[in-house]
Parts: sequence; C-alpha cells; structure tokens
Amino acid sequence: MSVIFERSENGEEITVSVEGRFDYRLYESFKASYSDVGDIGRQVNVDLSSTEYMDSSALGMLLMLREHVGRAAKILLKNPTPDVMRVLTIANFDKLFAIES
Amino acid sequence: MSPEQNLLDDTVVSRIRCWDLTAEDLRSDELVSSLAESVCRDFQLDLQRPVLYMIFSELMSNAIDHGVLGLASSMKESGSDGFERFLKTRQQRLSELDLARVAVVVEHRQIDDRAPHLRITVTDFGPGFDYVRVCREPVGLMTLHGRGLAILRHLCSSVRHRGNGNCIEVEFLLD
Repeated sequence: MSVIFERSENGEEITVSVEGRFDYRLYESFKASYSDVGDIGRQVNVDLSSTEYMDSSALGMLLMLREHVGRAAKILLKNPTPDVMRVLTIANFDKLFAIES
Repeated sequence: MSPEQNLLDDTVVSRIRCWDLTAEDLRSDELVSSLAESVCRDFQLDLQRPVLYMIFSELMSNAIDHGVLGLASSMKESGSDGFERFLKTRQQRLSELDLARVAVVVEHRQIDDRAPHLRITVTDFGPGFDYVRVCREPVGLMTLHGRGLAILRHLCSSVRHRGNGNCIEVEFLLD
C-alpha cells in the first residue's frame, strides 16, 4: 500500500494515487500527499484504479481532503474498481464528489 | 433468532473457525488482512475477497475503537482536526494496550437448499456501546461517524448486535 503524488506539466492538476489498501494506516501519507506539496492547482485527482479496497476511515480521509481543498480546486475520484465504487455509493460519496470511471 | 429457534431449523454448519485475539494481535497492521486471507483460504472464497476485507475492516475498527479503547466516534466531529485527533488517540491507546480480548468466530452455514452464508461474530470484552441509539442516528452526508455500520449493513444480508453492544453478528451470502 502506498500513495503516489504527481503534478501535471502545466501545474494545474495534482494526482494522488492510492495503491493497495486504503485505510487508516495510510492517513499520514495521504494527508502529506496534498498538504505538504505547495500549490495544489485547480484540480485534485484521486486515482483509485489500483485501490484494492477502502474502509470507512478512507472515506473520512476523502472528506478531510475536501475540507482542505475547499473551493480552490475541483476533486475528481478516478477509476474506482467495482468494489471501491460500491463503498463510495453506500456512503453517498457519488453525490459529494465527481467520479470518473 | 433465539437459541431455541436455532435448534428447530435445518441449519447445517459445515465449518467453524475461531480466533482469540490479544492486545498484540489488535495492534498488528496486518490484522484485517490476516483475518480476511485466512477466511478466503479456509472457506475457499476468492471472489469475495475485497468484500471480506471491507467487512473485517469495519468489524475490527468497531470492536477496537469503541469496545476495547473506549473511543467515542463523536470525537471525529469535534473541530476541524477531530478526525486527526481521533486517529492519534487511537494509535496512542492501542500502543499502550496491555490486556484486551476480542473473539472472532466465522461459520459456514446453510439452511435447507438456500444459498450458503458466512456468519461472522465479533465479541469484544469491553464496556460495549449504546447500539440502539447509534443505530437510530441517521448517517448524514458529511458526518464521519456511523459510516462503518452503514457499510456493514449494505455489504451484509444481516447485521445484529447482541449483549450490551459488545457483540456483533453479521451474515454474508455466498452465492
């Protein structure tokens, strides 16, 4: 499990990819991936394509990200696997976040 | 279901696996994966692996946070750093934990010719929590607590609390 940070060439987007299991153990690295990187640009992508599963603390972390970003940028959850999508839907996160499959 | 009813129906329990978890087990970062992987192996489940991870994750968080460590979920909401403080307090208390016990029982059950199901029972030997009140609380869109139970209720065909809230029993259809 790990978090990978990437900034787009034009600097307008950052992408945070969560690989493996997304749970409370990733808290420090997930938070660091957007709060310690300076300007977050206009869009924050959370790449969930390699996320095996996600639990309720991961949902809490996404809400923290949302709070941190505020209106400054748009958050896009990208390519969740069907199981991760299920958790997002259960928690009504499809209404709180833009999700792109 | 009362024990009497249990004796009357035609439930066939074909396999049971039990764990008696100590403080050291509960501290392990691999707790959820070792439970989920053992169940996948023992009960020959493969397709259900991600769902089992999610179920065990919520069941164990519930038992550890509220039952063993006595942390209130409302702490996650207090102030903008509530969630962070919750996780830090959790980590701190877990590292200091000396005596603790959580029992996990997994049963493969089948009633007549219906689809078999897995029953997972988690009992923590802590003070329990007021599940009647917690279950009645609506889960708001932006609230951080109560999501674990909401996830369990969606993933499982049944979720029941027993005792003073220190025991939770979920059933999960294998079809």
